[in-house]
Parts: sequence; C-alpha cells; structure tokens
Amino acid sequence: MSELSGQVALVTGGGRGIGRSIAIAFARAGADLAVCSRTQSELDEVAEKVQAEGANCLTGIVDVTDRAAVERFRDDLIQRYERVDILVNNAGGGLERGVVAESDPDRWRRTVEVNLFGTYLFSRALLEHIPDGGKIINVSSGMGLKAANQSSAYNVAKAGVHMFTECLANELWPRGIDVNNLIPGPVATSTFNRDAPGQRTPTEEIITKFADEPPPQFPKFERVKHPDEVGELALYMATRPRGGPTGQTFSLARRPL
Amino acid sequence: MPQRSLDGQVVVVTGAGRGVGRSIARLFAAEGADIAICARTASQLDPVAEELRAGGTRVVSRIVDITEWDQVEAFAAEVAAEFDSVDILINNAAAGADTDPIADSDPLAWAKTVTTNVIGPYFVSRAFISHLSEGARVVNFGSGNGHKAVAERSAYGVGKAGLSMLTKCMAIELWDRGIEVNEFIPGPTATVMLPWATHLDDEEEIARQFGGLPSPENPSERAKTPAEAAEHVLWLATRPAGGPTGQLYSLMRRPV
Repeated sequence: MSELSGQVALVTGGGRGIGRSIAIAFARAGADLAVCSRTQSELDEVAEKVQAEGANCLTGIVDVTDRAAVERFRDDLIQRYERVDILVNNAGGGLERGVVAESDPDRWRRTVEVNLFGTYLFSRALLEHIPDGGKIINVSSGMGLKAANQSSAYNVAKAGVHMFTECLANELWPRGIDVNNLIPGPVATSTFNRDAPGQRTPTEEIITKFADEPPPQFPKFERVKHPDEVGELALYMATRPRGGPTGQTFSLARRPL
Repeated sequence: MPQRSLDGQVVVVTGAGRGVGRSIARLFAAEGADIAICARTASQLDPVAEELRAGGTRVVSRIVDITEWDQVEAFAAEVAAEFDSVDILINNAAAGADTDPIADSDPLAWAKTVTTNVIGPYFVSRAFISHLSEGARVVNFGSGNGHKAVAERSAYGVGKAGLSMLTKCMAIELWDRGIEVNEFIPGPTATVMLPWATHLDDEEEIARQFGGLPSPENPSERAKTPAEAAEHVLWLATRPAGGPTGQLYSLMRRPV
C-alpha cells in the first residue's frame, strides 16, 4: 500500500514550481489532491499529472488573500472529499524588491498578505476539517530567519510564517496535528528566477545557469535545487508517524541560517 | 541478501555504550555499515561491540573520554588503521544537564559539562576530519537547551549552543569536500538523559516507566524511544549529495 493512500492533501500555489512538485509527489504516494492557484492552464496541467498517478484532483482558482475565494474552495473541497489530512501552505512570492525607503507600499503589503495572511486564511478555514493526527506544512524560507538585502517585505512575511507555524503547533498538538516549516533554500522556480508574470523560464534552464555557481545573493556553498527535491522532503514530512516533530523546521538550505 | 542502505560504509558513533548512541550503532550495523564505537565505560561498550560482531559487523571499539585529546587521537588512528576512511561521523556523546543555579554551581563540574558537550565533539571532529571521505556526513547532537535558556541547566545549554555553532562552522568549511554537517535534536528520549527520570540510572526501567509517555512539564513532548531517534539520524545521514548542510533537524514537539 502506498504511504498516503486514503489521505487527502491540499496544496496552495500548486500550479507550478514547488507546489506542483509536492502535489505530484503526494499523488504518487497515493493521496487524493486539491490544488489551487491563480492560473487555470497551470492547474489543468498539474491535474493531468496527478490523475496519471491514479489520484483524484480537485482544482480551483484562488487568490489566497481573498477570504471569500478561500472559503469557496474549502466548501468545494469538503463537498468532494469531506476532510483534508494534509494542508500544504505553499503559495507565496516576493512582489516588492528594493530598499524600504523606495518601496511601493501596496506591493509591500501585498507580499505580506500573500505569504503570511494567505497561510493564516487557509489554516483558519481548514482547521475544523483536518482530522486528529493530520499534518500542516508551511513553506517558509531562510529569508524568514535572516535578513537579506532589499527584500524586506518577503523577509518579514516569511518570518511571520515561521512564527505562525510555531504558534499553530502549540495550539494543535492536543489534537495530534503536527505543524512544521519547510525551508526549500534556492529552487529553480519562476519566483526564484524573478520571471515577469506570464513568463516561465524552464526549470532545467535555471539549474544549468547556476550549476557552477549560485546567484550572487547566495554564498558559494548554496545550490539551486530542482523543485522535485522539495516534493520529496514534503512527502517525508507528511509521512512522519503520529507524535513526530511539531513546531520544527525541515530545511534543504546549505547555508547556516 | 538484499542491498542495505549503508553497505560498504564506515560509521563512527561516540557515546555508543547506551541510549541513542547504542541504538544508532545497532541500526547502522543492520543497514550494512562497518562500525567504530567509543564510550567511557567498558561494561557498557563491550557488550555492544560483542553484539555487533556477533551479527557479522566489522567493529572497532575503544574506551575513550572525548574530553581527552590524546585518547581521541588514538581512537582516530585505530579507526584509520582498520578502515580506509570514514563516511559518517555521529557526535552523540554528551554530558547530562547540571541542575544547579549558576550562583551555586561547582565551577569545575560546570566547566567539565561544557567541555564534554562542545570541546569533546570538536576534538572528535578535529581528529576525524582528515579521515572523512569525500561526500561524508557528520551529525552533531544538539539540544533544545542550546537554543533556549533553561534555568539551572546553564552548563549543558552553553555547551550545546556552542556545538550548534560548531556545526555551522564545520558546514561552511567542509562543503567543498562534499561533506555535509547538520545538527540533530532528538528531544526527550527514554534514556538516562531523560530530564524527568534523572532519579533512575537503569535504561530499561526508564523505558518501562516513561517510554512513549508525555513530559510532566511540557505535555506536548513525550519520551521517544532511542530507536525512533536512531531512525531519524539514519534518514538525515543518508540524504543525497547536495542536500542540507549547516541545518538543524529536530524531533521536538514544541518550538525550539
């Protein structure tokens, strides 16, 4: 029997990159999936991959900062599957780069909303539908533990996610629900590559570009990973026996944080 | 015999006479590794060595106090003579928490606790680094006390905090040999180190009384078995090349 057979997993921001890899890894392990993002064409492609693994896949267009949209998707999910065993709060991104003094206040706030408020909103909406013994995985970032340069909104948002994970772990252990952070480190995604909206640099192209040396904002011992490597770690986290780690961080980074 | 995950590998485990160290030696041997173990107490270490050898494992076993550089160096020399190189180094040996407030502490006992928890792992690492194979893995045993202050456990916390920093320093110095160095925190485990069983010194009795049960002080925590901790160390020590280094992995059940 597969490790996740009979379980239902929800992955936010699951249309591409890390979220897509997690969804496919979970489907391969036997879980049924619910995947949301903002782009239908990407969701369709992921659903096809998930279904090719023999799993069901519910998709939905959701802006994770939109409470009504989150609750609609929750209702669809509950109607279809009745519960969710594993919630992966993956949707995120840095929309505002640059120094605070010159930052765009709306984009700065939006960055915090997508990464932090979205994680809160999905958790809030789903908590009563996660059975005892379920799992919550929040995709965090090394940037949430250490300030970088000219990315204050993302730093602050991910620091908030990190703390939210710890708060939620403290609240949910009596139900046996384990809540942990996943730090992917640099991964070959369009977010990492700072692609413009609609522009998608192929994964292999990004990995090849940084094969010999990571991008300048990282020390030489960092490595740009394939998103599937993050999918594998998420699967390990999702399959820990009950009573395993909670309030902890699982990191693939290669620089001390 | 089916392929085992550590066939052909050499693993060094310090503090292997009991507790989690012993469980790691057993598990890694069962996965096919050759094993080098050390501890201070022959009556605890010898039976572990005999058990592993009886199971067909190649073993180097030596009585070592890791706070004595000469003894650590001699251990490394013996291991190097027996095996070509070391693929996995587990710095597990540690000294228990002192339970005195700083104001009342015995200065020499305090210093000894710090020394065992951070200088000891440094000595072991220093002695073995030149014998580590390209792509080797090092796992250093940390503690929640090394990340968050706990009253009356200052020496242990200071030692473990130092070990956490040593882990990061080793990671950034050794990455170019493909060597990955991570900290592992088991959280409370049913051994003689279990904070709420310090009145007992028999591990089987501790496991019987407290194994799997919640902590009296922090009910989200429970006393894990040494075997559970060993399983996670095996996973951490067998990540593919290019995986985490300088990171912290933990089985705790409350924020570190």
